[in-house]
Amino acid sequence: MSEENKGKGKSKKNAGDLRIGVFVCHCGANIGGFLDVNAVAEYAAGLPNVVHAEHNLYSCAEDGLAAIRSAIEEYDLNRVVVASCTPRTHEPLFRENCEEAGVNKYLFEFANIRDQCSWVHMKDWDRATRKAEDLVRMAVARAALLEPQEEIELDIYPAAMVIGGGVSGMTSALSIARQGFDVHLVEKEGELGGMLRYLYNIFPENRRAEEVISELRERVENEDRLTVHLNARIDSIDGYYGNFEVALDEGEGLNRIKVGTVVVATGADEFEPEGLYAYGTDPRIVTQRQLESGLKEGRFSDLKEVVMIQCVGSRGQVLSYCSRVCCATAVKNALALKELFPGVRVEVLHNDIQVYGQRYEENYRRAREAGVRFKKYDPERRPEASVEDGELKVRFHHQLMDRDLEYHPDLVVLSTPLVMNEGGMEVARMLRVPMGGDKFMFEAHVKLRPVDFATDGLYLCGTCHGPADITESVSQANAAASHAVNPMARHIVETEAITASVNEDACIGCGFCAWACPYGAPKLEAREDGKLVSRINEALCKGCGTCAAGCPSYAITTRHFRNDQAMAMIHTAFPEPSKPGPDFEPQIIAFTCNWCSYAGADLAGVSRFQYPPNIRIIRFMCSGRIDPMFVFEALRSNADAVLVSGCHIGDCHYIDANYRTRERFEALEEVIAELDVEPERLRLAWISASEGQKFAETIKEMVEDVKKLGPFDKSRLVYKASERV
Amino acid sequence: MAEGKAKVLHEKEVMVVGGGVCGIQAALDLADKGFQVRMVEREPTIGGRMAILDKVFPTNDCSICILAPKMIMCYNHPNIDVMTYAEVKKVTGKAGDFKVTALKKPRYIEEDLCTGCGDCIEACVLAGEFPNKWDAGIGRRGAVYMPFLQAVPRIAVVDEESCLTLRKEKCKMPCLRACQRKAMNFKQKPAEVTLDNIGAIIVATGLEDYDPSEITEYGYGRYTNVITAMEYERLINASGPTGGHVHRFNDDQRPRRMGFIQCVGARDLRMGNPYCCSVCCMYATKDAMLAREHYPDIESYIFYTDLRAFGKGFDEYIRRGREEYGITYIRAKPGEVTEDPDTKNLFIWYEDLEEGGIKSMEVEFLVLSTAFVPFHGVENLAKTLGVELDEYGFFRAEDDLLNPLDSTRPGILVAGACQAPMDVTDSVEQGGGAANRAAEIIAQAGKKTVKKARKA
Amino acid sequence: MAERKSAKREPRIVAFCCNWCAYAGADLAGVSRVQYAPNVEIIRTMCSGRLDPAFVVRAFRLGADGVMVAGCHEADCHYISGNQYAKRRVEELYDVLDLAGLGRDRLLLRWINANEGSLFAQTVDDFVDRLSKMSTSPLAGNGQAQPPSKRDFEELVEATGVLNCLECGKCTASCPVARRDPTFSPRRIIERALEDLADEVETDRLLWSCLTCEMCEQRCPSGVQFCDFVRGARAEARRIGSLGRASHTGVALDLMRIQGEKGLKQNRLRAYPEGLKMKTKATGKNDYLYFAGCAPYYQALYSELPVRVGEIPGDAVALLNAVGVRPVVLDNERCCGHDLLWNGDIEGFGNLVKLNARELSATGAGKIVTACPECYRTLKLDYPEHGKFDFEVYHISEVLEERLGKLDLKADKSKVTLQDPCRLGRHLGVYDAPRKLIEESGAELAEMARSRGDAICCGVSSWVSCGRCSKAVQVERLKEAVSTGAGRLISPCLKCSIHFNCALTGELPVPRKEVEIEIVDLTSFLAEAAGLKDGAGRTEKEASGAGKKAAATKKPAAKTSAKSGAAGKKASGAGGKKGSKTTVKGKSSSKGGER
Repeated sequence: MSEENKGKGKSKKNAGDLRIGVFVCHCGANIGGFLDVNAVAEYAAGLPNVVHAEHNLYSCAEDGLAAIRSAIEEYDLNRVVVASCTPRTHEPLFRENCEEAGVNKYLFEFANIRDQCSWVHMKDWDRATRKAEDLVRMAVARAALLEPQEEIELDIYPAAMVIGGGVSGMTSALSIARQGFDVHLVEKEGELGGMLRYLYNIFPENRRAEEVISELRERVENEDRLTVHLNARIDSIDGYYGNFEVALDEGEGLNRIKVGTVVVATGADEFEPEGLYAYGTDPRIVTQRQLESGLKEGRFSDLKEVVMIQCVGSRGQVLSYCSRVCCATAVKNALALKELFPGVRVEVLHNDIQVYGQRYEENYRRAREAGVRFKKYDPERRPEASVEDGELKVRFHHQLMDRDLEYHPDLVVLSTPLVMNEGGMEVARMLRVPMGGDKFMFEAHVKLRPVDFATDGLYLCGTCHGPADITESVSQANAAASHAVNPMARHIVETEAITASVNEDACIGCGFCAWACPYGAPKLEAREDGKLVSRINEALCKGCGTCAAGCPSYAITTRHFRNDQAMAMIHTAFPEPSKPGPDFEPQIIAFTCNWCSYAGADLAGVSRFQYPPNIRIIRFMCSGRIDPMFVFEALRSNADAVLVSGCHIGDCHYIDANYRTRERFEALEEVIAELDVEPERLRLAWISASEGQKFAETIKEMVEDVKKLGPFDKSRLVYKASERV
Repeated sequence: MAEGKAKVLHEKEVMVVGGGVCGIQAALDLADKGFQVRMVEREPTIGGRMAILDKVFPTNDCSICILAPKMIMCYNHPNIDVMTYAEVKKVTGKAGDFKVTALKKPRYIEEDLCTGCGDCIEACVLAGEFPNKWDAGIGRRGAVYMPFLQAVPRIAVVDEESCLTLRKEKCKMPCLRACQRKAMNFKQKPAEVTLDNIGAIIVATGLEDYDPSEITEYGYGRYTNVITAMEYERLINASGPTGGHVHRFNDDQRPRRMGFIQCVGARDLRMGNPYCCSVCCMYATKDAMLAREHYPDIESYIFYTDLRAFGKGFDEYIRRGREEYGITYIRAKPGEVTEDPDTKNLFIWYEDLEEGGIKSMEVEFLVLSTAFVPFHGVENLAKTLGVELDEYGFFRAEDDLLNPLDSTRPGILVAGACQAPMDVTDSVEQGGGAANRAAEIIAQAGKKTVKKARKA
Repeated sequence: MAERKSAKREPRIVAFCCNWCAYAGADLAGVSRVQYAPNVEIIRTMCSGRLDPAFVVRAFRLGADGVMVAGCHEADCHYISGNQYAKRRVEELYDVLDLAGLGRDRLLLRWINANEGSLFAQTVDDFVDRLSKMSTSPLAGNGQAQPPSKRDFEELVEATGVLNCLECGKCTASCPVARRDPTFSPRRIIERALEDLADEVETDRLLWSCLTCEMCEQRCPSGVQFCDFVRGARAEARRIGSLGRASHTGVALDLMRIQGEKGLKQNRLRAYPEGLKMKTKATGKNDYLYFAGCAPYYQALYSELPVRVGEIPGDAVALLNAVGVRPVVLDNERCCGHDLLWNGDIEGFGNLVKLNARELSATGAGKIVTACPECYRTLKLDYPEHGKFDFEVYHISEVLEERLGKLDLKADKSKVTLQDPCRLGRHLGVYDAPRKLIEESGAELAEMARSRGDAICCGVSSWVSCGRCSKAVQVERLKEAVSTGAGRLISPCLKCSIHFNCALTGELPVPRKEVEIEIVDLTSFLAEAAGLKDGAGRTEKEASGAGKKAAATKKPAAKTSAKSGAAGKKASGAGGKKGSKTTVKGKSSSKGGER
């Protein structure tokens, strides 16, 4: 949508007295075939603040959309409720439609009467219809409290900083510059090149490392938008996404630069195998990197026999992880040795050769054909290297021959893993970005966001993220550059409209929010009057609302998912208390997150899994937003039981916000127990977007359980509570 | 990234061929840079392979749960024009200025009318007659169908080969009546679409499963309870054809002992796939873990040659598999598999490499971790694009080292599993990387033209 | 035996005498000072029944001009009827010697008891006379093969792809031997090779356990040619005097070495019945030469088994005639040398290659067709590697399949199953031709659980290391065959037929009914289906027999064609009880009589 009609939206609609329009969709027979759409529309017309209600065959079809637009004009609507399918697929469409007609898209509300009603109660026309009415009533109640929202846009400083001058850093910086943005390449050493400087040659291309570096260096030096800072240490980084202020210590005083985004490419070091395989006791026992620099400087002459040992210090010997590249390196260097010293025997003692893909597997085969011998050792019985009267000796148990063998090489090469380096850790601490158990920097999502940090504006690539070969580092460097450029390309940083906001007068400065936030958005700051209050950096906030749900003084709330909006839905979910007796039908309120459980409920619909229509779903962005207060409120207002549901632990859309959900729920259970409320009335279920069946099952079970208990006696809640006073 | 925000800021457009996770990543990144993206997907839905996986290692995230939002975001993004069920037919021009002709295959359903309600699917007289390839052939579909529940766009498609009407055979065409939107249209013809403003092309066409029936010693296709990993993936998937229930095909019993054989068709010179597929050791472990989560008493045995767990957190994942999920890893490549004609159980014959001697392990279900091969028809696409393939049929990079994402033709980039078998993470990295290269190439090309203009 | 080279020399005789009669008779001759020629060297056996054909063949191979076998008179054998065995052996050997062109006259069987000293002396003198009239044995002066020159072990390792091994153990897991003998592991042998433990590999008896069936090679993902490695390593092993245990005291191998003597003039044509269209010279490169292989010899040696491999050459030529091919055949065709090659006897093999190459190219034919999978492999793959040999080589099934139209096959509808011999199948990939032919014949082909590339071998290869394991393999395979419900097991390889039949004799680890099945050679099966098995069928097709044609061109042939008839008649008496080649020839009805 364009700027002007957004403005129009603000000025004309959205303000003044409430004028709600309700549009009920038949979705062909998908809704109309299983409940009385007309009745729902009529019912809607009678709801408070509703000035217009109609029903269409397909609201999402162009004619349906047109009908909505003209109704907005005709009845001067300032709130729109569509009762049809699911917001997950169609909200963007209807929102856009509203914006076109001058209604701020945040003033649109959805009632899901297809996926979560008509499709799952196909055999119960009446109750499906009543449930649809309830859902519409809830939507209308919430709509009345909606406010227009703007996605805040902050200016971004159009320059980037790349930390680390290795292949990844250089590639990344180059690419950013080539897309037309200033970039600062910061290297702590006196020259560019990183790890590459120690290497001899590089597969899969089998090119000399120097050539590769100089080629890159040249490109870097000839790139006019690229400033290289050598011997530079980062003294401090302040600010946030779009506006970072960096102080560089380049020897003579601090050099302050301003950047919008930061790419971390601090690389890794080779693990020092102190005390392993007699390393350090004899110059003929070296690491792969030392071997390579040795070959580079021609330090070795007529080698007859070389033994390489894999996984030195890795995969459980000292460090836990596999370093990905050491096997390929050993293969590469073995071939190099065969080339340089024809007739040399090379034995590679390994614990499974990790040469993946096409090229590395090929090299492995080439090495075998060249006569390099690969021999498996048992990690429980690793080889032993020693120096006995001046002679190198390697004793080793050939696991697959089940035999002890001994070699007398004139060089022992240890394949050691890559490890996070000091510089990297310092940068990580400064940027407040997490490190994993392996000490490498921790990305936002292992699968889908490998080059982003959870914090916006910060990206990573290369071996600081984990062992990787040059090809992979270069791909990552490009990906990171891409993300670092994007906001600059748009000149602005959009932030979520759905963010947390603090009522500073109510805030008691306890700092819970700062602790709970997965993104470090809230910070405690002293206000002018000296009061310590929480302030949200909206550039960082993702709107999960786990801060609001936990705020002891209700000082924080989240836009578009405010407490009162939730309460409105809770209060209107069930008009009557449930009837006791044989035909008692439990009334259940379900609080779900948007990404997993709500989607799971939709999937139950798409797959037509039937379940009883006793449930009303209230959606939040994250289960972390579900305030215990909501649960009590639900029980107070005619609900006989409450379901809390979110993504499985570990799948949370907001990193780890659902850990808070779990904590709160456990606390809730205790309280409920103290109040003598049957535990069956409160249920927590982790339901993923693919578990439609599980959702349906959960509801069935719950309805059965609660049926046994009978209606919930609210007075008891109040009584118990008052007794404590 | 708040979708719907980005505006088109560049005059040149970028084409992304293939709508898998790699292509989606590339498209989203480019759209966020302010490029108009043209995505061409040969299937009726985007999402690719990841969309039909159950979980992804090493986090065991639910695959579709994390992908679906991206699929939807990609499809709804104002800067991304997704053309499903279409193929690239012709490419002319040069880096910075390509002209591409794509052929849109007829769905026989008007995309703008279909609401994905599925009425036609239920109405089809051939409903359930054909194996659905998105369910690895286990689930079944009719002549008109939706690839899978979370397909994007949610628009049905009529399969020419299956549909009676299109085969010019007698059919009462109940689908026509079932569809109240009157979206069915059997008169649809293939439509050519020409895009003449393409600055760069990203190829992310992915790969295909290897059919192990030629490896006769393992009895795939001959023995009832020998399946491929992809088939297993659909069986264990909650939204798959069996709702996540793994059962044997002869007696519908769920297995208590499962075997996995690694490198079936991979690292194998006989089949011309000498390469390692990079992900099989991991997905086999995942598969065995999932089995254990569904059925706590199930035993899994994984037969491998080299156990390759080289990625971030992979080795630890294997350790968890061994220690927490009781998976038994056996370093041996079985020689052959025999079947008990009565129980349909399988005997895996292998050499105990350490103690020596041949053992046979009886399992109730055998999963073959099959290789990945270049997708069918890759040669034609390569010819159309004018780029080279490597000896195995994967797209060749111009410079494996410093330009791993550039194909052998300037301006055309190759990313993801069409370049080499790789996991989701690597595909996403390459997708993002390729998007970046595309932007860079267009910027550079722009510069040149400006320079030229100055000179003139 | 020491060498004495000379054109004509005193005949040298080896005599095998039983301890109780003949040897005593010889003593008596001495005691009574009866003089006889000094050309004889006596070897004492407890009973003439101890006579192993291999002894006789070895004696000839080492240059004996004559071999004399003497035992107690028929009625009074010290061991009841041991001498009857001697008699049968000798009769078999007559055929062998005739085929080999040495002639049955060089072998003498006499009953001499303890008090017949003068008879002993007389017998020796007469035999010396007879031999003096004949030429010196063409094998005279033949000694042990010269020790081969050392081949570089590392070379072998490289040449056979051993370096590619990934140590996955799939070879061992696929190996029919390893499955039964836990001490045998191809993978471990390879690993030793990779540790450069050449001696360990070569001195290991297990090196001789390999069946070279190529099951492992076919399944190896890394292209390691284990069987070729074994072959090479065996040659090395031979060099350092580490040999495998040859079956039947190595008689077959000795026969092959005998055929490697250039002086030898065989009479192989006698193995063909009359009435076949054959020739001894080709009219052009497009002519086929039919390479018979050792079928006739084996028929003679294994006449005690219900095998009819001796019919294969006749049946093969009849089939070829039926499809309009008049093949060139050789009277002096040598063994292809397959078994020597796989025993690592490179020199012995080399001799045969030389001689055959000469004989074959002399005919002017350009194509070779054979019914024997081993000849097929050897001529097609191994000959070209051992010198100039440019022939197109075909298996008879391929030639027949091409000309299916000309064949009118009418087998009964009964169910049959098919063995894929390793040489024909895995070594050369011929799977479809035999199947096509069987299906055409009208018989119903029921595949075994393991077929084509996965078929398991007949348990023995190149007459080495036959034993417990072989038997187990054979029994398993026969079980698979029986469980198909087929009445007959068709085998394109005469070795398979021999080994399976052998497995069925004597003790069985399983109930006989689980493994017993009639084993038919593919060629004979087809000949029968084509109605070519009764002599009549042939003579109709062709008035004058091949013998006469051959006679026109070749003298010895004339003699043999005459003989073969007699041989046929005579053998029919002998063969009656045990169904040797000639009795049952053609009359499938008389099979009933056999059982």
